[in-house]
Amino acid sequence: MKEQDIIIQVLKKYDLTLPLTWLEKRRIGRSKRRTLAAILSRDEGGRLRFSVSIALYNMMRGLGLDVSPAAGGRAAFAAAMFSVLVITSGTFLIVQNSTGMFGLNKGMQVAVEAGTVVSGEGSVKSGGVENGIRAGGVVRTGDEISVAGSSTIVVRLSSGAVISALHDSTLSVAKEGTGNILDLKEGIIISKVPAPFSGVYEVRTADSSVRVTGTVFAVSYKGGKTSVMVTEGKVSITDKASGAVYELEPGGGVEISPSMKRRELAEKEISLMRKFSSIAAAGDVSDSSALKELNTLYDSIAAAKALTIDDIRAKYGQIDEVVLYSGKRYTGAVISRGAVMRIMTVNGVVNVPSNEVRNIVLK
Amino acid sequence: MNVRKSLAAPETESFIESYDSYYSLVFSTVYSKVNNFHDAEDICQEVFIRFYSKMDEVQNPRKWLYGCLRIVVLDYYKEKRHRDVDIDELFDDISLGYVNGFRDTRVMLKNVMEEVFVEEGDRDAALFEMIAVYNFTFVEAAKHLNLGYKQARYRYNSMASKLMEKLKARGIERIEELL
Repeated sequence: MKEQDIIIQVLKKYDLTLPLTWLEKRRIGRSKRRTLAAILSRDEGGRLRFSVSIALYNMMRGLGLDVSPAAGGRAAFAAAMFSVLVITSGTFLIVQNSTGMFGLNKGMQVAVEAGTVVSGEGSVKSGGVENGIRAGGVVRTGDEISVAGSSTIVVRLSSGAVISALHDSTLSVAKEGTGNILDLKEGIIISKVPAPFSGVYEVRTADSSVRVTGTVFAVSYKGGKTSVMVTEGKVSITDKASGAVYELEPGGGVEISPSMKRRELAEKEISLMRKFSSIAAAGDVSDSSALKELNTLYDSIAAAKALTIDDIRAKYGQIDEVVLYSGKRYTGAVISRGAVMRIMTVNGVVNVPSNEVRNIVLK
Repeated sequence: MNVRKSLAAPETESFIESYDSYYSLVFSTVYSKVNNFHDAEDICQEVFIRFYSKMDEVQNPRKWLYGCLRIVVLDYYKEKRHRDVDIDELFDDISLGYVNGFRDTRVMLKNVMEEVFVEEGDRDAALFEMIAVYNFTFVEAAKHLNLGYKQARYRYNSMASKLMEKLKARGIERIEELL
């Protein structure tokens, strides 16, 4: 036993010790901090400020820094200023993000991960800086994704939805609760949204918004016009100008306008959607030809769509009106006959079983 | 009211230095007398408020604080209507106590400690008392006194050596003899 320890034993033997428990010692430490603040603030007030200053002073001394109590006061002041700054910024961001106040875009938010690139490549503009992005790359909220040239990009969003942006498309992704809001500035996005889908999944263009709960659909925005195609589930389309809401069911397509007339999807449009569905289901697609095929299909649809009635007349020599027993009418050129009649219309090629055709009128 | 200005004042700095050195010791002493944590805290607060206002006149803070706490504890007992309490007995019962028939040794030990405390200074005395009397560990005492662990250990050992020297001068060659 060391001499120092023997001294304590001796003091104990002669009843000169008054041992305290560890809990009592801890309480004394707390009392020490509390009482000092009470004493110093008894004339002038500001007990909380003294408490914080003293706590920081003790903390700095505990770290081995030889500081004065005034340094604790300065540290408390700096901590208070920092807290005010953090609280103010946080409050501002929350209020701005939830209400869109102060003239700022509601979509502006703290960047969080919105999804991961599964296949293909493109570029992401974040904070004014543009970088290339490919499989494995992370897309954050507020990032602007661009797909140029002959590229295609497939992104799995954190909400579970898979999107494909085809060539010459530009979009940004925002989070809305557990869902996503996609802002399509140009081009086409094809989406596969898992069903049932909890939350909001919406694609917005300049003139419309398309909201879904579990479906496969595409939204394109070219030359100031929005087109929507649906192959699974149901989407709700809102024309921003007129406020008209239209529900589009599987196999249907629509061009955004106040009237919003539904049309049957053309074969190539269905092929495009099926191709995308198989890519989304497969996950990572290492074979870039699958992605190229998406672009090729889309190009052929766009080319077909670009035809006017006059173009069709010029190309096929005449315009027919095909009247079905159901009362439905297709205007265009009959390009093949057989069990299935193929009609080239301004909306693309339409296939109609021949036994459903009542008559064909030359226009 | 400017807290930073107030904390930077020389008298406040000096007070906080003394407060850091003696609060835990004064509290332990008061607590051992009154056996009530909240009352002990109130008494300590009163003692240090008085110390703050008289600080310029105080030559020996430790002695002054001990003197002051006797008065405040007495007031406490008066307030609690324990008029039969003898404050001298409560605070200094060494000469009156009879412990295992070694009263003289006990008085001698107490005197030796006081001598060492006077020679080595109040702050080291406070450290020694906290460790030897109130069972604080080196780490705890260092934390309470705003010292480093090594500093606390060195000062305590230095005090213990002085104590041994004083005991030798009184004919006790080995401390074990007292066990």
